[in-house]
Amino acid sequence: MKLSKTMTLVLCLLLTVSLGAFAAEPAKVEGPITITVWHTRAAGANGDQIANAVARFNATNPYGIVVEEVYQGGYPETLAKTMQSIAAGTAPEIVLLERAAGVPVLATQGVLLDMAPYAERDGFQLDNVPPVLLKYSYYDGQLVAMPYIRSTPLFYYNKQMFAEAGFTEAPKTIEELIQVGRALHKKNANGETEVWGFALLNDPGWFIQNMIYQMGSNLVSEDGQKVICLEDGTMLAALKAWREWVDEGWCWPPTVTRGEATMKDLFNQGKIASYFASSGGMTNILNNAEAVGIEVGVAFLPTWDAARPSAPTGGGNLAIIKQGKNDQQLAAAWEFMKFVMSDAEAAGNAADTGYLPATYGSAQQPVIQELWAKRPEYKVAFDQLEIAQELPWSPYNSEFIEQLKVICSQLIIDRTITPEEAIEALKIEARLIFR
Amino acid sequence: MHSESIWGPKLRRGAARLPGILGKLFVAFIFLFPFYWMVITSFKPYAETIQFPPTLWPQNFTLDAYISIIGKMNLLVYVKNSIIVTVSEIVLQLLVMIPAAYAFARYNFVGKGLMFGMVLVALMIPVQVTFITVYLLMAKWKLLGTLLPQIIPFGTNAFGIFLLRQSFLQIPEEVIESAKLDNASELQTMTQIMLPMAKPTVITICMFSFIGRWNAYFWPLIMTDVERIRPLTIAIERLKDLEYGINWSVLMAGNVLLVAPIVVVFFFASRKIMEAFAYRGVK
Amino acid sequence: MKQQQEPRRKSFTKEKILPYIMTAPAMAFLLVFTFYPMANLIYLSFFDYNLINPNKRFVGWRNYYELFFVRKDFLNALQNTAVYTGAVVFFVILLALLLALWIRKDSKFNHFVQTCAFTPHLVAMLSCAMIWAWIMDANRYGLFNTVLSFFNLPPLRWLNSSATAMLSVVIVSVWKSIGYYCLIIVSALKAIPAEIYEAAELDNTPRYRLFFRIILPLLSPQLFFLLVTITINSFKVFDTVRVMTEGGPGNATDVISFYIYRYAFRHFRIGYASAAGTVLMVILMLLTAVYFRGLSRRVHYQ
Repeated sequence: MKLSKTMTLVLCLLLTVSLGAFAAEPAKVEGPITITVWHTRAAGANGDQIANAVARFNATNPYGIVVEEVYQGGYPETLAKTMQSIAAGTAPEIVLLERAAGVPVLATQGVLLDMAPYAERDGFQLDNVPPVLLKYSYYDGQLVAMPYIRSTPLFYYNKQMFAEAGFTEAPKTIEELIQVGRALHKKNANGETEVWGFALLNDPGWFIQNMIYQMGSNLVSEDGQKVICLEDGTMLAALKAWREWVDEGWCWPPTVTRGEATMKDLFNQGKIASYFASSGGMTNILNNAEAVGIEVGVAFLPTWDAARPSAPTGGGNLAIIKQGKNDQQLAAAWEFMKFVMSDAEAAGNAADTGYLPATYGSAQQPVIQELWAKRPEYKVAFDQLEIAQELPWSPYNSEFIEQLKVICSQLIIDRTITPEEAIEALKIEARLIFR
Repeated sequence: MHSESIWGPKLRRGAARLPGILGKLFVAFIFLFPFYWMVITSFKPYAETIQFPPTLWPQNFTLDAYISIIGKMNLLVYVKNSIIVTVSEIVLQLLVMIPAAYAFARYNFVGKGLMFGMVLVALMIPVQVTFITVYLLMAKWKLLGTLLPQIIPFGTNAFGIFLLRQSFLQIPEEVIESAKLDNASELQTMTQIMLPMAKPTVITICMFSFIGRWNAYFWPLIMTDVERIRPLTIAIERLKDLEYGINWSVLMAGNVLLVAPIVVVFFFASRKIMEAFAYRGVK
Repeated sequence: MKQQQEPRRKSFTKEKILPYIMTAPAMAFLLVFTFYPMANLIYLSFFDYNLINPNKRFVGWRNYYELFFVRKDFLNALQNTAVYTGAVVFFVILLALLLALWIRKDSKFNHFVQTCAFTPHLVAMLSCAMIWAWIMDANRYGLFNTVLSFFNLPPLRWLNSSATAMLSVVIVSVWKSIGYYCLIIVSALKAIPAEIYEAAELDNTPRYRLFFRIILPLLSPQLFFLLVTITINSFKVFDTVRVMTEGGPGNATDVISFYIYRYAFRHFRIGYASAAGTVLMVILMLLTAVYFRGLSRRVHYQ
């Protein structure tokens, strides 16, 4: 019997749909398998945490999956090694990438696994994850990364120095920050600065971008195709302000290398009264300050516009590489991903190291609640997530921010160009990079 | 009168030498001071390392930094890797370099100019140019899990060939002629006559090779994807976790551990080196 | 007759191929690990390539065009590298020579000074950089600035100002390399037979005449070697810059290998970085050719 055209069409459709559904059904792990995760968690509490987590997973997973964790250096080194390993066919299954500079680079190449089908199959609750932390987890509608060791910058200050100058609270706005900075600025007989009221590191992708956001703009447009802050005057305003603060003498200009370490050392010597820095370093900051008798206050970042407070986030996301991997490897990688994103594990991760609890559920865990009770400073970081914002996704961000850093270095460290010249230079870079 | 003639000129000569001695001490100080600073910082607690004005001798001498490193890391594996890589490298380079330098110095053959030119060109290539290609090559040959990628790409020590050839060229013809008269084979001439005369150079080259491989960081970082083949340099760099903060005493302690073996080797070898340099050649 | 000819032919062939056998291993390693990557580099410089995507896009001379005419930072890196190399070559050779002449005589004390001079070479660049960053601290209490204040001079910002950053990097490089090259010169000085010195003393030859007419020519092979080596090593400088300034402030200490590394390792523009690498190689080859053509005639072998 000949099938009518319509019937054939319907049958074909049914077949395709069922085949499609069959193909989309993610595989389940069938037997023992070894997979590798590459990460940036260096020696000490950081590295220990992942080693212990991996050991726990290896001991408790019912499939016989064995995970090997290997440290590969900082974020740039790990990303570069991952790129070359993909080219060589020696890539790991899971890799820890910087959320903005790393994930987009691999995602745009199409080498990352879409975890959405797996999440759906296993009932993984994505709304358990704070939305701002997931901003760089989606690409082209696919779920390509999970927040793993996330942080946010905070305002750290020397409580005693502030009290001596009559400030009982941290500044809430940039205007108040300027007042505090000027008040705490001390000069010696030669007119050289002995104490700086505030310090700002050369991390414009974080701090300057945040200020621009508070002014109502952003570094790049929503579609990530062009730079918008150069035309609307917001970048100019931010750079001008920063340069003014440094010229007035109360804002410490960073050193050309190891700026963060130097800044923290100066803080511990009582030479810098306050600074912006990642919450990821909280444990070390508090411990080192205690060792020299300084009481550290921790607060939200002061905002340019009281009606629009915000803060950037940072840190690393875990992603699964699908290029050159078979179903079993991907399935095993997903099992580890689920494990690490479980509330208990995410809580332990945060409590041991000072990184943010990656899920709402983990924030409720006893180990985190106890930590926050004992040291409320850690809670400040998590609370700030409510006002956190993210830079729009763009494949050009990483290169543009690198050039922005170089130009800021000339503007703030070297001080050989003016803010207007910096804007001109940035415009040229934007033209070259955003092709 | 007798006493005058003894003390006068002697004292004058001594006094004349004093500025020279002081000058040399100052020079030695300039070179040693940073090293000294590194060592004493490793024995200070964190609070003291950032103290201002800095202390020239640890006030609160402590071994904490070392304990935290040695306790936390399985140093033996890294040290073992560094030793194997360094020693194998030296052996390989000697085997490759000595005949090549000898050939360039002693023979005229077609293509010699070109080949020596290639050796010189190789000297100019920074590793930033070659690393990606070599990594891909090592992956293709399935050598990535071994120590070989840290050793074989440097088999030809262009610097060594250049220096050694120079040394061989300076050996007087008579020595070689007399060896020929004694019916020595090429191999014998090379190893028993010319090599001993170039001993200072060979030792110098070995030492530079040793230091270069021992302190190498960038190349092993690229070539090692797993922990068990990593050398000591990578372990020590890992001590600075940027988001966490740098603890100077721990970092300096790590660097002291990294430098200590070289200093020990150098200390024992420098005697030999000075002896070798004292060799005057055929009189 | 035949019996006489055969052994001669055998040793003739053996002599002919022996040099090739002796240089074969060295050439093999070079071909695989240096020249093949170089050729690959030149090949890649005509493409747009980011490592992962196997489809490289052929772009012809576009990378070179961008290198020289579109961006200014490559020319800046070239200039910085040239300045750095010139300064380091000059100061290292001058100071190593002076030091070697000073401590030439065999004595325990001189041996001690020699060893001290060599220690910077043993220490990893990272530690050297941190210690020198402390010494050259930009505020008044940095060691260098304290010394300057003794002479009533204003403090300098050393690594943090584009006016002095290169100078600071050069100082550290020179400090680290002198001992190494001094050793080579000292050994060469010691190889000069004592009779020459004695004869000069007998003739009452003035010091500078002894130096310029006699010692310098005898040292010329080593000095020439030093000149070539230091030039090449300076052009390749990477670790010093990476650890001390990361190319900053701004681009003030950006040098070619760091430039290549940045574009390859951080921006994944392999084609563009390869073009920069190719230019570096061409420059070095030209330089070495110049050295050999120009100076090798003045090198005096015994």
